Amino acid sequence: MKMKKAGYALIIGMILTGIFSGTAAARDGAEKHEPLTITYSSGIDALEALVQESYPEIDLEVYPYTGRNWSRFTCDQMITGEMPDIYNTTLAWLNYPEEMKAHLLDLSSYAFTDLYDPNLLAQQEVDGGLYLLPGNYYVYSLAYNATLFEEHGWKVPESFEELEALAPEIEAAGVDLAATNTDSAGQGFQYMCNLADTIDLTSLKGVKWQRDFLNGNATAEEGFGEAMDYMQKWIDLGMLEGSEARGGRRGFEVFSEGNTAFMVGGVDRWTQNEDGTGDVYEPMPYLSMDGTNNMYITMMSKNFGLSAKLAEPGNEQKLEDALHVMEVLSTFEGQNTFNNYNSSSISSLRGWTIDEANPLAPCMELLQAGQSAPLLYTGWEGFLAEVGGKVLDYLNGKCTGDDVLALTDELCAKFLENGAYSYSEVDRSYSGEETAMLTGRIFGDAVGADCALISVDRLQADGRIQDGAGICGYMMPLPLTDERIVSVIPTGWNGTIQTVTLSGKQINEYKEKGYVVEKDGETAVFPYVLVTKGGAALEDDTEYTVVVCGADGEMGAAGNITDSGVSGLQAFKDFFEDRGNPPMSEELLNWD
Amino acid sequence: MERKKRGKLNIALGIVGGLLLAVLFGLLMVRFVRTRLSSMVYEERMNQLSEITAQIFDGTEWKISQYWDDAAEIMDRFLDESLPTVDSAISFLQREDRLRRFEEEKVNAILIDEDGRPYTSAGMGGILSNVEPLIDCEEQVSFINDDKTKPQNDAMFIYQLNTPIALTAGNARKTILFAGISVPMDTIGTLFRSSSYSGNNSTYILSKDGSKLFVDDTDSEDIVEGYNVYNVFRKLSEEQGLDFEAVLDNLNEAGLTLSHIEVDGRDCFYAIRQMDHIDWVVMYINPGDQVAQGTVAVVSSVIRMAGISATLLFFALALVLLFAGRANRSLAELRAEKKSREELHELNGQLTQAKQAAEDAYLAAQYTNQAKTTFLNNMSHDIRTPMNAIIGFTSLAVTHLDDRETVRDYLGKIMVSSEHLLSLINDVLDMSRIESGKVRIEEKECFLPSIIHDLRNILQTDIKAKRLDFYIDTVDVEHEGIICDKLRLNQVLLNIMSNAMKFTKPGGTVGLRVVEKPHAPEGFADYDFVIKDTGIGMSEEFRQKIFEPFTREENSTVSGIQGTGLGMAITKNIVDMMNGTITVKSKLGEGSEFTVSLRFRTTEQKQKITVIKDLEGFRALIADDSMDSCTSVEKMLRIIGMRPEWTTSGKEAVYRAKYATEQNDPFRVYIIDWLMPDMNGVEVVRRIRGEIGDQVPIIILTAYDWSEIEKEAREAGVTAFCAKPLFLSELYSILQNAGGIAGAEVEQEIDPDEFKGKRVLLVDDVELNREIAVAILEEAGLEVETAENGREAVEFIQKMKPGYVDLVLMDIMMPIMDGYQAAREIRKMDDPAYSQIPIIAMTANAFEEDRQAALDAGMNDHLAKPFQIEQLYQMMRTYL
Repeated sequence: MKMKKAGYALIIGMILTGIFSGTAAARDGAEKHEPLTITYSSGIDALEALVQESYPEIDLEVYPYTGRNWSRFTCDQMITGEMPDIYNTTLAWLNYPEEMKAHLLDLSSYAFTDLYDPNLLAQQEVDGGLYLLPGNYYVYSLAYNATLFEEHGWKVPESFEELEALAPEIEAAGVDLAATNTDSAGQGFQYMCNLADTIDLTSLKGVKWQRDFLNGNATAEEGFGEAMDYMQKWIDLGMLEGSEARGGRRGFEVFSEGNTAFMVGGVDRWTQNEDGTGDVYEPMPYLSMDGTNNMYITMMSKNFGLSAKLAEPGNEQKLEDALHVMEVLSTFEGQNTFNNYNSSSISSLRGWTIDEANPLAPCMELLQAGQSAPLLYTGWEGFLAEVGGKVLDYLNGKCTGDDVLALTDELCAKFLENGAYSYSEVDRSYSGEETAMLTGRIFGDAVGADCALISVDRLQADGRIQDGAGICGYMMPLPLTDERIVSVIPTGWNGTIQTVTLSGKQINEYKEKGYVVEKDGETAVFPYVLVTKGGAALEDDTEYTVVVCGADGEMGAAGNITDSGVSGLQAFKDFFEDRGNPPMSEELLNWD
Repeated sequence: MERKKRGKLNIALGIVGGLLLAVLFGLLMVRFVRTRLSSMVYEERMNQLSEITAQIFDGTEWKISQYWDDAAEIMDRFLDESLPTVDSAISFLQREDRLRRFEEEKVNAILIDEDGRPYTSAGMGGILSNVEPLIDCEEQVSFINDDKTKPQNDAMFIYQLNTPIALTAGNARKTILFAGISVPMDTIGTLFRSSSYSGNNSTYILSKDGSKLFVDDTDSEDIVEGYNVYNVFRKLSEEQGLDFEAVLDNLNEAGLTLSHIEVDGRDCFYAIRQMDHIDWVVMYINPGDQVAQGTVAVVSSVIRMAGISATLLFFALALVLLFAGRANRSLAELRAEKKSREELHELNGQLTQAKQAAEDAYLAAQYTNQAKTTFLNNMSHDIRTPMNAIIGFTSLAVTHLDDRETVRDYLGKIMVSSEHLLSLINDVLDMSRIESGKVRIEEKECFLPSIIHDLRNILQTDIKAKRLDFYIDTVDVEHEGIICDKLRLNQVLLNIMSNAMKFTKPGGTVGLRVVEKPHAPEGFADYDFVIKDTGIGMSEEFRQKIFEPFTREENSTVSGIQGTGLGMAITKNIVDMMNGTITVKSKLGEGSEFTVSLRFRTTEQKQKITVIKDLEGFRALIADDSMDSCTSVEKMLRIIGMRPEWTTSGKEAVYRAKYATEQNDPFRVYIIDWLMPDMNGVEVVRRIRGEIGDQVPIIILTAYDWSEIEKEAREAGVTAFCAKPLFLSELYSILQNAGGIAGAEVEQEIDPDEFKGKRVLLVDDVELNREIAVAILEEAGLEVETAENGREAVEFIQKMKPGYVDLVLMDIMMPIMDGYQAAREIRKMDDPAYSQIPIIAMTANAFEEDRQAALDAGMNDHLAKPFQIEQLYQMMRTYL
């Protein structure tokens, strides 16, 4: 009897132990759900950690993108519907309402939408639905070296007239007046628009002109004429300059040397040194002539949505998880996990007040008084890059303001008639590898190389290390325009094709090893795609000229990397135009 | 024994069985009642929701339409002002905010320029955050402006100007394209907030596709979470098998829809309304357990009670049936007993009622007796007092016959006492006639301005004598022609005004305001005659019985103020006969306010009031320290087509006259109150004349007798005088004569040839009256013959050559033959040259009765004494 009782006790004890330990196990390592994908250009640890505080079962995976046209690439994801679970873009894409409704979930019925500033939501509404929710938004401004100003006792000008009066004083002190960022053609377009905003582009008249111009019922002269005259004044004063004036160096690089008063085109950070030491920079608005219409330019840095595929049968758990992530993204903490732009941005959530330590705190007075204009992009994206490029030429003295206006009229008319210029019609989505093959053969052809080693980025768990030198993104079934080419090729708008001389053996070894990237003590390896003419095999001892996208230090030392001087973008454009703009096909992937 | 046992067992079985059946029956009844009542409950909930939301929605709709009206008025006034500079525009906006009391609701009058920059009383603002709605605006637009300088957004009610207005600001030029108002969404939110159902409700302002336009941070409930309420409801409806699209279809058709839905596990009832005056949809939503709580509770109780009652009833019935055979008293005996009990109870009731009635009658009789005793005491005192005075002063006069001045003085006092005695007797007689139904209301066509002006004339002397501050004005009086018993109306108003003056000390204020109330039925007009004084007031106890006869606040031997205690009773009776109401508010020591509300039929205006072309679009300035007077005259001037402005300050009037001249947009007419605190009206006129010259008419408007200051005023530049209250027809008449003044109280120069060759027979028994009238008539170029009584007048006419006399002015109260009889005699004469002679009655009585009596006697017209000279001349013109 006693044995029986003991036996029962033992069994009961085991069962109880099993139950409790199982519970503990469940508590410690919650069973993970299928990961949700999100596109981003760097790690999302912070966001993931925040989500897992409340929902430990949710994991995120990064679909990487470090390409040169985030807006275009993510817009194309939305147009085609080929997007990750959590969609992350810049603008609200209100000029693609049908595509938004088709490929994104309507979030307007969820409680977390009440957490946003309803005025911002109203601007993004499509037929009563909300397909993208705004994240933080940037403020584009001029910047000035506050340390220099303090040292010299200069007063920060509040109008262009005051700036004109101050400029001789600055120059007399041996300080350069301004440096200008001209990293991309888009910046050229923005400078023209920003100056126009200080005149009347945001006024009733200006907004009406924009509408009329984009419908072909007004001329560029009517809206931008005064702005070009005003831009000339800025150039004459020395506030705006082309890249050639500083020997092709980046504007911020010059500014951060500490002997320049103003920065036009944004700063990489608000202190001279990355560790926060050195001179301190502060924002100031784009100045109007008399100071009555000074302007900050605002741009939504992020917009978030959910793929409509989450609503398909079988995805119920993913949908639920994705909505939890959106709840987290609808908080200050959640949105701030994406604040990698100098920790300075404005929130789109209700009840937000700025921290005095925020570098944008000095902007708030004018922002709240309505002295701001949205970045001009939607509706102009078909031709703003070319116009912007012409503005950069104008800054470099290669054309006149009238030339810029004439080109703007011409491009707008063409766009209205034919849409953006397309070099090829892409028939389907081409994977990263396929895009790398095409890039390899085009670049190789352009520089007369023998083969090409093109690295390719890949889906990652955390996205902390990404391949910024190779192919990220891919070609989608859409007309292949300048913007789209730039969004996939590693050289972007202005980059040139790099070559290296390696032996066949070396090439094959690198192909095996992959492109190794080190960052913060961690290493990631990205695969190479090797493209050879006619698909020929390489001989170990023969030296070849190799186009390379993604070369580490070792390769550089081994092969003497050379800048061919040939623009990658131009190579792509020439490739298709020389062939009569054929539709994209698999045949074109073969380097023959 | 066996049978007994069986019997008991049967009883027990019967009881148990009956109980079970009763419970079953009760449950069935509950189910039945619940099913029947649930749809009724739902109906009731919907009805209640509909009623509550109707109040909210209607109130909000009205307010929104008011906002549009304000916006339109501001636009019109801005266009009228033709301002030159931004600064003057901002001053205009400040004034508009002040006049409309916008500050209370934080509303702002607003102008918007071609850049999309707003201007308010605070100055020029930054460009509006969203100018798109203005681009597409064709006539008017409403939108929500996100103004980050404020914690909440503004709703904009904006009109596009037909003509853009250019303003200068230094060297710059701003063109105003829009005008309107901005209303904080918080203020709009208060219109929708409802404390019904203990505040357990949410109201949402939505766009047409269901997106929230406004988030009420004070709404602790917030039942519907999510940006687009319609999309939330679509999702929930799909889950719950409801058809939300049908609800929206109903909304589109009817503009209002009600339904219910479950939100977060709570059954909610909601109403959605499409607003008419703005492009919004409003949703009101309530948890169902809050709606018709009372009804639901009652119904639940009913259901429970039904079940319990049914159970008990059935059980009781079962018991009754079981024991029916054991009843040991016959039904008939029970009925008989019951019947006699009922009869006894009824008799008791009748006796109690009779006793109560007898007690009440006793109390009433006691009260009446006491009141009559009091009245008789007072009356005897009040009658003895003047009688003593009459007898006393008569005796004194007899003993001072040689002292003419003293005798004159005594005779004057005898007259006063006689008049007072007469009024006492008249009041008593009036009351008696009223109570015996001998007084009837006789309605005829009357002219309200005449009634009010006559009243003012009658009161003028006493007002002046007692040095009272007097105001008399009108508010919104559109209908001046009415059908009423002028005699009785005058009696009512005079009674109350007399009391007001009687009980107000010198230096106090007495006033009459005539208000025409809106929403009277077609063909009728509703008036409030409000008489207010700052006199001694009355206690609350007395106020409640003021209209009862024979009552007075204090005994006249104490207060020294004489009266019968019948005046108010008479007044009330007359008002009741006219189907009106009379109410009184009073505070002891502070004064009283009587309001007589009457409805009259209206007649067609004799004179159609239209825009005066010669004055259309011209500016007019009103200066009066009474804002009510200003706004009343302003409205009238607008109807006439002018652009009126007003001020309550004499000094400001002078300044504005000067400024208007400098702006090259001068005022075409000035209407100035005589007595203003900061500057006397005459002085104002003098200074304005200094700025504008002599051409523009300036009219003095006053409730007082201006004869004493008339000379000085004319020297200062006053063109004419107008008596308050000013009626629209009078103003129209005055201004119609090219901004000149025919029809006002103007002493026109009389053309001496106008009545040349005409002769008047003046009949009056009082020599003094004859002397005065002759002088006036001869000054007008008339020749005058006189007679001392009616008999002389008839004989004169009979003997004269036909056509010798052109008109007869006949007094009525004369010895030997009165005026009525004389007129009848004349009218009987054979020769038309005599019988057709125009005869005008002259009487001291101003009432319709007298006029009618004159007409009945064959006279042509009636002139009430004391008559204005111009009235006499006008009469001459009419009949000569």
